[in-house]
Amino acid sequence: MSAKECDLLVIGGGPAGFWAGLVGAIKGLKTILAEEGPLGGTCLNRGCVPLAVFLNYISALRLVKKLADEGYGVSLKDLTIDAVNMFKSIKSKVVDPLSGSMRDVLENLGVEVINGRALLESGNSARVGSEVIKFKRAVVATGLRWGGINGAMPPTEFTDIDEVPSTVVVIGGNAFGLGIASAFSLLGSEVILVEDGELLSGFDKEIVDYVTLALLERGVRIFTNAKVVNIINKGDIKETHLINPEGELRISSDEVIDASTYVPRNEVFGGVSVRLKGGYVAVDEYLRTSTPNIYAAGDITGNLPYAHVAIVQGIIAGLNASGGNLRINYKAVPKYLYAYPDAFSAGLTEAEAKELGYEVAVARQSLTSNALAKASGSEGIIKIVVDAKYGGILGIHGAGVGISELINEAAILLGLESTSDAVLATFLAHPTVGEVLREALIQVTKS
Amino acid sequence: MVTEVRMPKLGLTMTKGTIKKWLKSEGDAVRKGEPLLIIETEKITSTIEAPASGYLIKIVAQAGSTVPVGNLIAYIGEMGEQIPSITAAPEVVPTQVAPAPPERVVARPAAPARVRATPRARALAEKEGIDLSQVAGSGPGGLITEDDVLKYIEGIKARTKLGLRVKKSIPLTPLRATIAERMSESLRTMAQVTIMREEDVSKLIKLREELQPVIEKEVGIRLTYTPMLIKAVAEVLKEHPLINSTLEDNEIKVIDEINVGFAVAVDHGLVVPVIKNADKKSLKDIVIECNELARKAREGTLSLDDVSGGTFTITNLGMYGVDGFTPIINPPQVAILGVGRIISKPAVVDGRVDVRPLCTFSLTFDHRVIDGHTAAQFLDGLIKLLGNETALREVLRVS
Ligand SMILES: Cc1cc2nc3c(=O)[nH]c(=O)nc-3n(C[C@H](O)[C@H](O)[C@H](O)COP(=O)(O)OP(=O)(O)OC[C@H]3O[C@@H](n4cnc5c(N)ncnc54)[C@H](O)[C@@H]3O)c2cc1C
Repeated sequence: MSAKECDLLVIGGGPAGFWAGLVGAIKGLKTILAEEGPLGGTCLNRGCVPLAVFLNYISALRLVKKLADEGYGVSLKDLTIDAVNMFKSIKSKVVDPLSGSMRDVLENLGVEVINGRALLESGNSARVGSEVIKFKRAVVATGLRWGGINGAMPPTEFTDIDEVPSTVVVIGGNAFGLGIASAFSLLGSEVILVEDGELLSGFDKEIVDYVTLALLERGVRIFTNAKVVNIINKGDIKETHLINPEGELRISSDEVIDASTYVPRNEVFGGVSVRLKGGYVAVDEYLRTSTPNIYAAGDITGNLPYAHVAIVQGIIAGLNASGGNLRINYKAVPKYLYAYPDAFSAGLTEAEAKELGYEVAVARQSLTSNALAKASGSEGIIKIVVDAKYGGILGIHGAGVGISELINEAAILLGLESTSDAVLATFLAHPTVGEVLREALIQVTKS
Repeated sequence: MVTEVRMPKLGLTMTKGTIKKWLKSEGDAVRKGEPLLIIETEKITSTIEAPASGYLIKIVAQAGSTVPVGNLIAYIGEMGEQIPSITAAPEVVPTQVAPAPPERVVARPAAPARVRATPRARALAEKEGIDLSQVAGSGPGGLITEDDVLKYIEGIKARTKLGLRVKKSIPLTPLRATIAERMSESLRTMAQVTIMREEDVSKLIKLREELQPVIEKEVGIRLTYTPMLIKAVAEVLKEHPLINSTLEDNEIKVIDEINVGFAVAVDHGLVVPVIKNADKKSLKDIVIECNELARKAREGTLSLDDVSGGTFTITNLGMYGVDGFTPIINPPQVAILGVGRIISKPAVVDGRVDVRPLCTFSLTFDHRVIDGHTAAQFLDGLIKLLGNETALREVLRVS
């Protein structure tokens, strides 16, 4: 049997793999991408995208309802939401077409997309099904395997439900758990959130407080520092046993979703031994594994499990596999909660900045006086941590419905290391939600 | 196989190098180990060998450009081989433009090298007085980040300008800075010459033993040589007015007061309190004043007045085992006396070798104002006084 040959083999077609393959093709490498499922990976098919689309539609509906309820001249007879149907439609009308267009993009650039599970056999060959592929360089981007403990549903399956649970326990106070918790809370489920540490670890404290309060106000029950020890199936009812500082607790619900249990999909390395770090594939700042012609990108590297980290890693791995020499720098990775409300924390939190010895100035601004926030139904707060000595922007944090519109401004300002005065001299347009940054930074100008 | 040629790191402190000359042109065949190009750093010029055999298929950084260490400068490969498209634009810092040709009357200033840096890096560099063109950028496309500036600052702190490793950096205290400034000003502005004499000081020792109990009894202070020398020097200065002068606006101004300073070592420095009108004061008064000033010096409470107005200085390194040395004049004075240790040595006395207590006196003078013989006469006058018991006893009257 003759082997296929290529310059670059990409394994996995999630955000990391898609971008690595795209870059390799743009750089003129003969590229093959192997994916066992639909292109787009966890993010497009079972994570960020369906969740975000759903939350956006619900927000839009809530805005319409608000216009009706508050006498803006909108009348609305009967607004009902069939969530099961909505999830199905999102899959067929949004997710699947997007996955298809990802394939078109790759194929138009000359990438050969092979459907099947890949296994590395050596440092320059892999097997996909019955096919052997010889490669010069490879990017491995196989992501995570999510699995719920004791038969709990993994977060990647929440769109598959055939009935909205009246009570649901969500395990994991991370961005994914909170996203799912707020989705079900918007659908009217009684939601119980369980986290064995604190909510949104790594986010600025004020942001965490804002989100916590908003969820509590919506009726979500929250148990922090609570460890799930068992989940028992009692017919249609699931009983979650947890231990928190007050003792043991049992919570009955229709459904338990575990957003806290996942492992990297390292099995793909089969015949190649690579160094691991904490169970994840170890990479250097060029995204090289310990086998230098094999790169790794995305969730499998054990960095913050966000699509934007996976994408940037994929781009850099792709460029370096094509002869580039780029280093990745995680200093300004925004932590992102796409939920209801949204939140993000980019750069240093106030506490981190103080710990690092910065003389800190903090600017806070609410969206209540922002014209466009009113129009889009956005609300919330923005908090900017500034180095009082030089005016450098160290961290930008936000919480509130729709606040995530500002996350890219935050990422760019931090990535390019801006200062308060540089932003004030920048023509942020009016009316926009983003000009809230100016309103905040004027409080800490150095000039 | 395409081989990348990168700017090598030729020394610990090298951050970038300038390409002086390519020894091969694009398309030339090269053998591994063959001289390929010449690079220049702040310290050396060096020939770089080809890392692989093949053809020089692409020169990325042209002669004249300055390139950070580790950056791509060329590719070696097979004829017709595809070079990987260059993703990160090579971080080439254009060197200064060539100087204007000599016949030009008005020289144009060299174009400043374009520096790309983040606003945070700029703000930090500005506050810390760092020249960003000296900082190697690690960001996308060579962008200088705040971290790069911090590392640069750390780097200059960790190495001396000549690249020597630093174990510890001690910031100059204001006192140390003043001393540094005044000492170099002193040497820069004066023509200093030091003359030395070793002499028998047995009379001085004898008188100290004699006066010590008296002083101790009267004022409760142990008598040291310093007040005795201050008083003796003040007396001799009366006879040698040029030593007690200053050079100002092309005039030598002989000063009508005799104010003798004495150097006191304190933490990380030296201060020189002054005994004003030492010639008019009794030994007892000088003892009390010296004691008081030395205490203030150690406690750091000397007033400006305590340290100003000196016309001559004595510095004593005897307690550190030093014999002769070359003290530096305390401007605007014109001379300083260094006193060494008193040590028993064989000496010829009346044609016989005897063991005598000897001490070396080092006199530095400003040759612009004082000639060698004038200085020698002053030193001789002092030594004569110290050797004449009667005269010395008269000068060192207790009260
Ligand atoms: C519910 C949920 C919500 C989320 N929301 C957000 C969000 O709002 N924002 C955000 O930034 N991130 C979010 N994430 C995280 C985001 O989905 C991941 O960080 C991202 O998908 C990681 O990309 P990846 O390419 O590394 O891996 P994946 O997207 O997991 O892609 C890996 C791909 O590799 C394939 N694969 C694995 N092994 C093999 C093999 N041997 N051969 C062939 N193919 C293989 C898999 O089928 C998969 O398609 C969310 C995750 C979940 C679960």
